[in-house]
Amino acid sequence: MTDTPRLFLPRDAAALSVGADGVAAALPQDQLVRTGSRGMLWLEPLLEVDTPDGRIGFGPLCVTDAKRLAETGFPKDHATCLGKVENLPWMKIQRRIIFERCGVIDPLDLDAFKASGGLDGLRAALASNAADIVETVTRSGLRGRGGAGFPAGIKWKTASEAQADQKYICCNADEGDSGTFADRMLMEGDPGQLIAGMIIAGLAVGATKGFIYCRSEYPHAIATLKAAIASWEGRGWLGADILGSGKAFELEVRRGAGSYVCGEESAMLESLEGKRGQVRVKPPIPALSGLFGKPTIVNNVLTLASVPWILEHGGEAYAEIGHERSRGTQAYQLAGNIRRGGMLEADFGISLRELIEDFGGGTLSGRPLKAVQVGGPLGAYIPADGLDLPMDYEAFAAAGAMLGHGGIVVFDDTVDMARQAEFAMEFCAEESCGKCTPCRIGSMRGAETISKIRDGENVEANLELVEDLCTIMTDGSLCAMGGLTPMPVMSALRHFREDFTSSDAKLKDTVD
Amino acid sequence: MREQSVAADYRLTHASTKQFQMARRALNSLQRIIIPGESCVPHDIDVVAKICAHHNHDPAALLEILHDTQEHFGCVSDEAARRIAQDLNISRADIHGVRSFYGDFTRDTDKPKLKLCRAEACQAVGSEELARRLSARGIASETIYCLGNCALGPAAMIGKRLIGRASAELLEAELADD
Repeated sequence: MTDTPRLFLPRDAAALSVGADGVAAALPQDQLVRTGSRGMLWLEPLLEVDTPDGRIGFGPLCVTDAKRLAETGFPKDHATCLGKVENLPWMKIQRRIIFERCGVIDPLDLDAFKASGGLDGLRAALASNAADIVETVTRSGLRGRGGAGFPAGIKWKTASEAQADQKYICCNADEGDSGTFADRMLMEGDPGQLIAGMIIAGLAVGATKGFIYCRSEYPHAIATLKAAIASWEGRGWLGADILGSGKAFELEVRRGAGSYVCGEESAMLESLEGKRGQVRVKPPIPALSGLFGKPTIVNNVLTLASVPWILEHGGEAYAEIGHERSRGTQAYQLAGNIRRGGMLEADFGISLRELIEDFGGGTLSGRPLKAVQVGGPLGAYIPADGLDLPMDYEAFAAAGAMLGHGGIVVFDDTVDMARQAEFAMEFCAEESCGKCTPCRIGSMRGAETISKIRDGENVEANLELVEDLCTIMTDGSLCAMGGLTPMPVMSALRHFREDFTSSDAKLKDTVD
Repeated sequence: MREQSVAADYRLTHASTKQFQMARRALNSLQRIIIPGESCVPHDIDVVAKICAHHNHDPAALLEILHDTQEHFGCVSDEAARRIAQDLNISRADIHGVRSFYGDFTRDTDKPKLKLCRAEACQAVGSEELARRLSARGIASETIYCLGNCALGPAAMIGKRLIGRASAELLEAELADD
């Protein structure tokens, strides 16, 4: 080790939330590089020290430890030393396509980005033509990572064939699902990957203008994106003449304003137009008539960020990775009551049990696991005996669940599943855009009825009513907000019926 | 007459949204609109004009304009809304519709400093208990659904500062520092 090794410390919001800035202040500033996070959030703040045989990790660090380490030259026998970061089991299993540079380089260091091959996919796209890009993405089998899993190639083909004087690329960074933070990590840790993906999408469909719609709850991501866009423009990597190719693409970041439903693509487009985030009736699909009525590609952050790798290595190489019809890698996010929470990128097909038990290490509280919610607030609750499910869109759909954006929220045995079902309805009522009746009124009535069930009022009759209501919401709602709210409710009911029928109310009555 | 039409417009736009805010909250807002008088504190309206100009008077940038206004004044007052409507050449009803749809915007400077995540991942590590403890200490918090810190919950935010593994004691100390 040299006397003054380079030090890498994340400035990812999650790392900051547990004191990364304090640790940074205790380290020699001239050696320090601030990066994104590797995703091992339970180890944050995680310091990495550059040595001839790789980066050595120290974490989780407190200010005192950091000072001591800096004074003593980062000895490998310190209690917080984790050894070589690349060799940690959490890192070894991963196949990092999207998050290749996340946690490794300074997200705003364009030279480091370029040196690590960041521009290769974009250069390949610039050397290719629009139809070939669309074809490559189609062959890769890439599916939308926002939750619906729609094939990206088909969407791109539709938009590329539409005739219009202006087309748009809109990145959906309204990552509102509880238990998901991979979009945020990428935007903070390697915004270049997303920007490159968006330019490639623009080249593919003939769009010259792009928007990133980022939720306002992510101020760090917004700041990083804006800074990255400015420096890309400064270098001529973005703007009127991308890398001297004569092709143009403009990019702007727009903030959401605290509305969950704006993650639905048509509500997001309304919001981007400066309006209330109300869902649009489809058809027409956004690929034909989207932002300002023009053909628009709306893709999730991770979908777009997968594209540069696909262009660099070819559609076939990407299609070789994955499981069944879910090709490529997925960012799995372990959250909630979990001992080792964080994000890991691996092939589709890994089982939920492997993720939670092997990587997550079980519950944080140490109590038995009772339920896992996969896919955000609209995803199903899966009981402890159902964890052998492979992470794959179809396998989840067959089990009455959904993979969604890959968020996994773990609950221990103290959770009351009837309360969770009630919350699902309350959340829908709170966040419904109000356009369609099943969602707007149904969620209200759902919350009221589950509340009655929890109070022990006409339990059987009310349960029947809830099931009936869920059918109407599923079949009659305009978008996934009302259409999928029944998923957590019905899965809770199916797997944990005793939580609804043995209501606390009866207990309360005897206590009172 | 004007107030009646504003109230009618309010009822129309609100009949279809945020039902769960319950009758009481709707009634409160309705009263605020019917009773004449400006919301928020008096402030320099030229700043609003500058914000609009910064965004090229583009109606599509309305959310950005409202964000900048909210950040600067701590609210989007009726006075500010009037100026934005004028500068963007859109109706005040449009502005009101957008302001009331999104949780980030308020008509008055009554937003608590502290944001507390109450979504599933934070519920799984005791955010509900934390909310009870905070209110027992007389600390007001705004309910947020997800701050993107789901592996290190309960999560909270003060200004733009994200806080992980939050406890009532920690948040009280952070608020005192702020």
